[in-house]
Amino acid sequence: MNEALDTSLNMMFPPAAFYLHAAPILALLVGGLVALMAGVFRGNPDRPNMVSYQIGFISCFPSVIVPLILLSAPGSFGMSVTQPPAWLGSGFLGDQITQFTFLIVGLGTMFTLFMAEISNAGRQLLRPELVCLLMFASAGIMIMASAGEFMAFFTGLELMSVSLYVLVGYQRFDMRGLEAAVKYFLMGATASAIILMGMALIYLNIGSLRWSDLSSLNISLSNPFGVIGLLMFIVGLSFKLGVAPFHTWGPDVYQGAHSTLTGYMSTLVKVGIVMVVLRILGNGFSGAEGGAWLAKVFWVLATLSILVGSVFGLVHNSVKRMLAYSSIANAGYFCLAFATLALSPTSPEARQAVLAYTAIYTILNLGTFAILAWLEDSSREDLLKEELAGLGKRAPFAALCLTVFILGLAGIPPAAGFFGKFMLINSAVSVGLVGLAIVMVVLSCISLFYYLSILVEIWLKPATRSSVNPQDNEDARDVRVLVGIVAAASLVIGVVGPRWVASINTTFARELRSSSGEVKTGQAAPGVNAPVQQDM
Amino acid sequence: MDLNFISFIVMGIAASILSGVMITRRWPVSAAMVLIAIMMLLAGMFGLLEAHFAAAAQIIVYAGAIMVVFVFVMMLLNLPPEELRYGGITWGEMLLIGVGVAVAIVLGTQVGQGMLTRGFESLGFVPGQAPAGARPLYFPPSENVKNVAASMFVDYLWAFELISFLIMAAVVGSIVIAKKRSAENANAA
Repeated sequence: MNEALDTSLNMMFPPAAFYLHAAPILALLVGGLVALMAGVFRGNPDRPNMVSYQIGFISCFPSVIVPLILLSAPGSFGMSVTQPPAWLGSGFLGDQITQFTFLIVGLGTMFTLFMAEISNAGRQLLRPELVCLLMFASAGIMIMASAGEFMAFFTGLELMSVSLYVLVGYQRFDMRGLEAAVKYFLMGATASAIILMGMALIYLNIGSLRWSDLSSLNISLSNPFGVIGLLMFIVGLSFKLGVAPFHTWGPDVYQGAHSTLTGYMSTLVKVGIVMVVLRILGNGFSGAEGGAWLAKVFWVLATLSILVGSVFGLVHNSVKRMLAYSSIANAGYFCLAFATLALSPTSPEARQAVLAYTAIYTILNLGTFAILAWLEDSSREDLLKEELAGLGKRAPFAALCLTVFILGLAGIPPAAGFFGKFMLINSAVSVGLVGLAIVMVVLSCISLFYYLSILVEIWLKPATRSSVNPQDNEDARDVRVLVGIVAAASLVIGVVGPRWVASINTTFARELRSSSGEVKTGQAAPGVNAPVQQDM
Repeated sequence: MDLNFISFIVMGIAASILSGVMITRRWPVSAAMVLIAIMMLLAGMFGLLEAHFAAAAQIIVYAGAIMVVFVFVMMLLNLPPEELRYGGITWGEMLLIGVGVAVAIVLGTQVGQGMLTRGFESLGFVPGQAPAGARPLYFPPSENVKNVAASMFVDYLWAFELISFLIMAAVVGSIVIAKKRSAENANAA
């Protein structure tokens, strides 16, 4: 046997702490399988299965409990606070960014399951195999966000994407759902292929798939393969994030999918991708003009996204389509954060701003789509803006919550969205991106028009015959409780500010090094041309 | 210029030309047949780069399994020849083609010049050897399969284990999509 392999093998087996840190992922994967098996023994497989639903719900518990323990007591279990460890050849990073993502995804998945249970159309989502796919998609997002190297990231990305292609198209006799599924599938597969090609070119340059080794990637323009590789990687991720000009699938898919699922897709999926970009950019790159050049790319993407999101959102009448454009505009804000990160990769303020914004955006968007899913139940899929007229009289509490969420998405102070945008712009200005910050503020004023036009319909217009008239039944009470909690959370964050984010340690996990300074898994120091090992 | 190098160039050129041939075929089945030939040529190129395992996998997996399924599905569906479009190419398409050609020329000259004058080394890699900065191989480069196995089960173990769930998701998903509609479900929907 050979010695290098032996050492690597010994290092491969993760310690017990790994199983604690990764418990959310493992619980979701196992829970998905159990939920699938529950369909074998009970009832008609074509009907919603409450046992699967409960199993799915319970398997989300670890992703709430474990992060709460690890985030509130950072030094517990003998973990180093200053340098969090990575396991499985950087496949899993045990840092606080990972746990923070787990918490958001876990809560978001529970919320999605709850919302699916509350609406009639959503209950169709609770068939055993669909619950299983939802669990797998959440696990995929977690794997992606916690990955420290390309292989694990890509497996997570595909696990999420494959599950979502099916979930979008589960109503396969509804033409619009089917169209959305096919569009999502084709675009997603193309994006995956582009990401794969980009990473192959990066590997050619640095000989490593780890994010931590990306710092040795030379991205000055004299190194075409490095530049093209990184650009393809960013383009592929922008596709998945719905950044303009790669956004064209977004509105169609969001409109075609069921609202419960649209909420899931427009929030949690983006959380995963944003964390990956954060981890990639946070290492920095080498090369003379590296960061500045990359920041310009994100400058353009951010401006285009918010322009497309704000202007095209004005002309649409379907509420879901408008919200899809709003999520494109919000992807522009993420690009602002990425530009900041490209200029100052290690700045904790920039990282914390990204974390705060993802959490706030998730809360606001999930709440909005939850109300939409409930309203659609009593009228029809795909609400028009006019159909919201008079909602303030007919269902005042839901209308009030919707107002809070929409004000938050627009970034008006009492709701949470203001602080998210404030932190992003603050960190952008502090690294000198003043021009981009001004563009963002001006364009988001334009987008105010369509946010406010929804509010005008809700509160100021009288109800007409076509406007939505939600039933006051048991579901409505559940919705009120659930959405009320989310609205309260967004108001609390909006009033006191996201202080919790300052206590999150944004250091990336790295593999522990042995005393001799060599990486224990046999990874050569980046940039050194390693000789081929000949001894056996 | 040794024989390996010349055959590599020939195979590469043949594969590029055949790719053009493939996308211009009217009959889907003949396009698939040309694709099989391209897969074979790619396998040959992998072999010349001393990646014997990748060459064998290319033939078994792509030229064998996947293409057989492709051709079977096409024959089952009995697809008609694709209708050739009448009328000229639009401006947007012209622009896209222009961008593609420009990128190909830039890359081609960068790569081609370097390779013709200095061989593979100018691209930053040598056949049979890992790129700069890569982890040293666990076994000598001639033992392809052992090296593949070592990276699969040691370096990328986490991803390898997770692939099983990916396949599971794909199986469940294809059953959900392809399932027949039951009478009861039809009424409910």
